Amino acid sequence: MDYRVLGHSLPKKEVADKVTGRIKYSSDLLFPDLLIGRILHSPHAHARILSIDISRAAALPGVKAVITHSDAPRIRIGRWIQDRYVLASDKVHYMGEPVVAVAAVDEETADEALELVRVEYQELPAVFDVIRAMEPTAPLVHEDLSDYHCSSANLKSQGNILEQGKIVLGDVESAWAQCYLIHEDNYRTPVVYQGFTQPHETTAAVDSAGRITVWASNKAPFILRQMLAQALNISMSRILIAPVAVGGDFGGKGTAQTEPICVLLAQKSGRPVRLSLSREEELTSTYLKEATIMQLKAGVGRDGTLVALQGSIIYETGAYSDIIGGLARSCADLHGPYRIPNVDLTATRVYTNNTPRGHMRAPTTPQPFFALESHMDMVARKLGMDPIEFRLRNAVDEGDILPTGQKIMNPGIKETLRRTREYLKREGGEPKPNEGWGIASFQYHGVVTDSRGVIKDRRTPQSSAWVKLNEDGSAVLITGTLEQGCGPVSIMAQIVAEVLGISYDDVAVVAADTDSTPFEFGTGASQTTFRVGLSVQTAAEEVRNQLLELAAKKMDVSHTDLVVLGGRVYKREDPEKGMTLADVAALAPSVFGSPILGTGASLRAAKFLGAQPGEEYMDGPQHGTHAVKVRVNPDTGKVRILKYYGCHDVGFAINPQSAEGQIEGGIEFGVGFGLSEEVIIREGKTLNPNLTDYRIPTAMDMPHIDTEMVEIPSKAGPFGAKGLGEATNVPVAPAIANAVYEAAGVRITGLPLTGEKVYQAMQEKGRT
Amino acid sequence: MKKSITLNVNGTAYDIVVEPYRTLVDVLRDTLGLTGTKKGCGRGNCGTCTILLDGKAVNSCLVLAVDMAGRSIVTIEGVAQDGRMDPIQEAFVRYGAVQCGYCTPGLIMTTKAFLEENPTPSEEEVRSAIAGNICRCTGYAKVVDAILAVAQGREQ
Repeated sequence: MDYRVLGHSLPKKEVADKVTGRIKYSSDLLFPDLLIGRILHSPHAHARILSIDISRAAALPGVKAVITHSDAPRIRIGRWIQDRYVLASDKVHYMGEPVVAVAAVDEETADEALELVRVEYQELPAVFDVIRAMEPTAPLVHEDLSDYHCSSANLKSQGNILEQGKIVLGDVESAWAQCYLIHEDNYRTPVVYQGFTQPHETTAAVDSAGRITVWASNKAPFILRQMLAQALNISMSRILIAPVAVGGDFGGKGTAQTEPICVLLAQKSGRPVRLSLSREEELTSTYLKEATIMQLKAGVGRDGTLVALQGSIIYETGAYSDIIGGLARSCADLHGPYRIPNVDLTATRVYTNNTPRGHMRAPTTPQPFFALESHMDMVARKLGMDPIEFRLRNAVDEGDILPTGQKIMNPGIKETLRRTREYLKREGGEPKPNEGWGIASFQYHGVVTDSRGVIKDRRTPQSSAWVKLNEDGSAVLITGTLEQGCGPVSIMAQIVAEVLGISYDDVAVVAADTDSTPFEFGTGASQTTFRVGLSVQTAAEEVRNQLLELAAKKMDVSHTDLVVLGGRVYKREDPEKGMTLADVAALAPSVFGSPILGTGASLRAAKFLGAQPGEEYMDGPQHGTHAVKVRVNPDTGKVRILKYYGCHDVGFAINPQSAEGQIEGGIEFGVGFGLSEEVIIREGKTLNPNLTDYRIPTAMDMPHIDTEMVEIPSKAGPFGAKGLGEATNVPVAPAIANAVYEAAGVRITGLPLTGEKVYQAMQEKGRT
Repeated sequence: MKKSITLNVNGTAYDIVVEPYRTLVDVLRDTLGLTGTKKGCGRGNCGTCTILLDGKAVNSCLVLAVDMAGRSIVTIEGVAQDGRMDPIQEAFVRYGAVQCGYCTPGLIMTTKAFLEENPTPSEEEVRSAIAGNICRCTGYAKVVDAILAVAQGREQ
């Protein structure tokens, strides 16, 4: 299908302001009476707070506010489970937990004030090891866990075990006997950091009537408003989350973290306050990605058909969890895009007294796929099968049922495997010593709907959008989605321009302002293009229908004979006969009693043909396959990436350049996870809380990247588009591990694949 | 004890009074209001605060403002001339090298200094030149494309 605006790599709306430095992020907002906020963090991993003395800090000249838990309502908050206070109350649960905050005229005064605060603690036994934490005799991180409010009703917590999920299909135990080959192994992944270049920053101000305005590095303004209202025990109408640029999110900026502290400081001081986190605070007191311990046992027939899979994954969620409720999906992630008749998978999430954990780009998925795709590679090797042929033999097809019960529609896994095979034929070349290729695939959720097209997944609630036609026929899109870097706002403008037959430049956007835009869940879950796109498409189509109705009436023709294009409505058979959009728009107030306004919601849009009552569907589960070539230095074990290929089924690329950017950026993310990134925590203390010792890939670490996009359209998504952004990082680490096996003959089952680990494994195998 | 100095930024002389411990990035942003320069880590690890100091790319979080008297400073706000974007800025737009944009000013400043020094770099030289600028969004792919395009005169 040829479109005028869709499928074209148009520049993002705000890009000129970004290259000239004009765009404003939270800490770029300057006020003459601006105060600087700073936080005092807990030095203990688990301790009772006996007393807090802020008197000397409050008396320091230049200090305008000092706050403790007693300045906030005694209400626990949390996005899914309400397990923490804004500032620690009777206990601290991890080393780094915010306890006291100050606002002062400058940073130095604020820091000096923090040194004057006296907090008396009584240390408590703590638990850091996730296996130990699961034992009945382990110290309890949260004694009152059963009283906590939680959005997931069937949470069955026990001790430090926050929740468990299980998927059982067929009969695994009796299936082992049918297997020609069984392979077992254990895998581990560390805690990692989102690593956005803009740290968490908030600026907050309170007006004379007490109304609060917040400019935050947060990609989910409506979630933030809801959590702030909850934390402060006030009406949402008292809070405005105002639009401001966000410098990267990757899952770490979709919940209230330090924003409530900043607001409390602004309330108490009566002045605007800026609260920016240092990198040390980022790495010790924000929600990071969970560490995991995994185990897998897979059995196959002689022909390479998967027969049985048994496995488990334990997520170490630290002292507070911003991520609960998706463990059935984690089991499904251990299972991947394969047909397996006998399955027994469990997932467990456990509290410890380590730093807190939350979302990070495909939050719970890269870990199980590291295990699964490493495992599948070993099974194929033991069988003597090509890893691509092995996956093609077992990959899912249209109509297959996912282990979570949904019927798969429009899968792209096989096509991405075939394209990867073609790529390797072209680019693979003869293997050189110490070099090797590895591949890995992935599956990531699409949108789950019931037979009426109603979106079912509680993690993807409704999206809504409005489109307003201006008097001259140009348009304004009003959406709650937010541009955090991956281009969603501009993609939405492209959809409006396409539907209304006007140019991209003639669509302005009002975005992410909680007063003036409709509710939106936030830019995330790889569903913005899909879900928000649907609501925007519906709203724009409603505008087009109103235009057709008005013009048909005026021109006395049937609306089916009319076309909306080029800023006009005209007769299909006689393009000379028509009206400008401006003239049509002028009719609206007298005919409709209001100007032209379209409203859309994703709820109304996701309709499938042929849907059966009682069934659930997953349209467009995201699929892709990556291939990577590495060289392993035989003297040091250091892994160097020489070449990278990422192939993704995107359904339809609304903006191909933006889509490529998501693939390339996801690969960098995965390279860090695979080779260098690990937040090292010992006895609750973070040992590398800075960007020197926590190693994010640089341009020198990244190879040339080839991307390829497959377009198998989804039926429900806007113009066939599927989700993309997060899962681009999922297959990277296992692909690297598989390439390292090819190059050096060693299987590394714990991330990251540091030179040290690879060298040690080579020594043990006598390969150095 | 505060000190009076004159800072030359983007061709304008600013007379300011500043604490001797204040870093250049803080003065640029909070005193002069030139917030295009970003402060990503404050320790020289991320490169978001890169500016030109006498034509060389420097992390402005690692130098003190009081030491900058008599030096020539160029920030991202001084790159476009007479309302026209620099070819580097144009290339970053055209090649899709910008996502969240937070690293972009620093990357552009690094590129500006680098291409002055080495107008015809190889891909490897470009990667080495920008290795001090962390970008978490792009995988550096389109950033490298954009810089090579400028060097090869495809962006004039």
